[in-house]
Amino acid sequence: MIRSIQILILFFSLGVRAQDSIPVKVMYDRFEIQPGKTILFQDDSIRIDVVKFYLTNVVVGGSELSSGLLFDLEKDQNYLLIPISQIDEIQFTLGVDSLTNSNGISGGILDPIHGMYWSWQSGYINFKLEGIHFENGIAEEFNFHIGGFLNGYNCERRIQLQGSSNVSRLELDLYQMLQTLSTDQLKKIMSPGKRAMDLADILADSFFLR
Amino acid sequence: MRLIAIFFGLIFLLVGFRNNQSIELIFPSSWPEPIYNDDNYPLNEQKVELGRALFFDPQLSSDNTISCASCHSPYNAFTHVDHQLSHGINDRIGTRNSPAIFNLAWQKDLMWDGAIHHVDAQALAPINHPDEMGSSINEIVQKLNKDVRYKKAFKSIYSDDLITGERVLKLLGQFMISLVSCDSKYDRVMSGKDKFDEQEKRGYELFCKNCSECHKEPLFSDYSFRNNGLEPDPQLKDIGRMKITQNRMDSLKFKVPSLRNIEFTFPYMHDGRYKKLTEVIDHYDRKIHFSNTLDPILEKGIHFTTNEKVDLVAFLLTLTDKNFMFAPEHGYPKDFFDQK
Repeated sequence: MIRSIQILILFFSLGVRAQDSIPVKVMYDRFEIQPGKTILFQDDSIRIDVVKFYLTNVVVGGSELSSGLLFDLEKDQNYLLIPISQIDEIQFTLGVDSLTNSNGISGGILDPIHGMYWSWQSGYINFKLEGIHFENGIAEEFNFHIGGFLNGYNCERRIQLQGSSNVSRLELDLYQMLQTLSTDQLKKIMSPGKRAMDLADILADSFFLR
Repeated sequence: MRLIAIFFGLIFLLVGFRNNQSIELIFPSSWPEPIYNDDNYPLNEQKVELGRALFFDPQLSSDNTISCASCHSPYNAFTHVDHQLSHGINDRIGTRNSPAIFNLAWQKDLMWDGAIHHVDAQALAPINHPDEMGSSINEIVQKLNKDVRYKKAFKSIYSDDLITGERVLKLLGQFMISLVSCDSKYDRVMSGKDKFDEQEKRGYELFCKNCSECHKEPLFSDYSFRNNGLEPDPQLKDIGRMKITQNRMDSLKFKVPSLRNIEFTFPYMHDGRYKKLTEVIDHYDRKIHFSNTLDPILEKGIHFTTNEKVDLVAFLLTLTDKNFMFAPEHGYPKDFFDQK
């Protein structure tokens, strides 16, 4: 009996690979964004309240990770568990792929209890950014809910980044994304469509390994 | 080692028995195959039963007053009668007439505007809508995790008693997919077990000539999106399918509803503007509103004599399926809710 238990322990221990983790941070130009904190934006300021997004189908060192990440600025820590300590290259999808969306509801980080599934129409919200833009003494809310996978407006974006020997974190820099606040009248994008597609393109170019 | 093998063998047998209660949809052999693919989540008797309990449970609304069945009553083929527009918590009024729920397994896109692409996501819409159930799946999961009846039921189906959003929504989906209406007089006539009377026969011929292109047999809808010439309501400002696709060519288009059980699914149209079948027929006869996206079939209207209208209604009444509406397995699950 004891020998059987020893064999089982050995079996399970062989299945576990050494793991490391890489933190994921959200930045505005080189400054880390904190929830509810105001940051200087051009001549005015911005308060970021919500940043949530999915990183899925993550491939590191040629192998796909068993789970992705639902980044949430409210959480103390956001990190990806990776099987190796050094990242030469990382690939991931910003959002939820269309096949998963087509299959309806999923569990774990994709459970709709996390508030990342649209209710008035089908599909996961790939990326959420909410806050307040203080401009010329006027406070205006902004809400960007980027998603959609049907009717020619598929907002999932596949991202590939090259690393180096001293990679310590994965960053999303919202600098370009937030510049749209000063140029666009529209500060609420909460439907799939062309505007959401354009913002998804901006976000896809905003990830960096540092 | 032998003890471990017996232990795992027992687990396998228990899991096997638990999953051995899969069920299949029963429908006439002349029907097309369902679109719904249950390979990932096969229909299961216990899951359908638990889905029914959730469907009838007012805990799904924020103030515990409105269940899915409030607007989708089995005795009206799972829709809401008397009210043009469905109403939710605190007597708030929505913007659309609640659609009847049956034969969803043959429908690609759900809701009047096709907003929902999968039955498992369907319930989120009324759950979150402030004028319907005004709740959230997160709030519901928290409530149900404190309810011993559900904890016990989940434990008997899954390997644990954890109640998650995914499980709740999929259970509701299982119940809704299980609702198949295929036992009307029309169905019995088609299978040679009954006969139309002369008036119904004349009505069927009129139907085939004038209505069947959109209300295609045997489901009595092709489930396409069409502008059927309703004058837009200036208060509701409902653009229909265009809200989802953002394509101007979809403006004022709504899903063609099935005519099955139409006797019991009044009022009619997406905004419930017509209370009687004769009003609906009159609409196609002489009230078509012209717009850019009007379905070409309706450009000249569909005209009937007074006698023809009576015959057509007589046929439409043969689409009533009381065996479906009054089936005990579709009604309020008293035994579940009576549990201590």
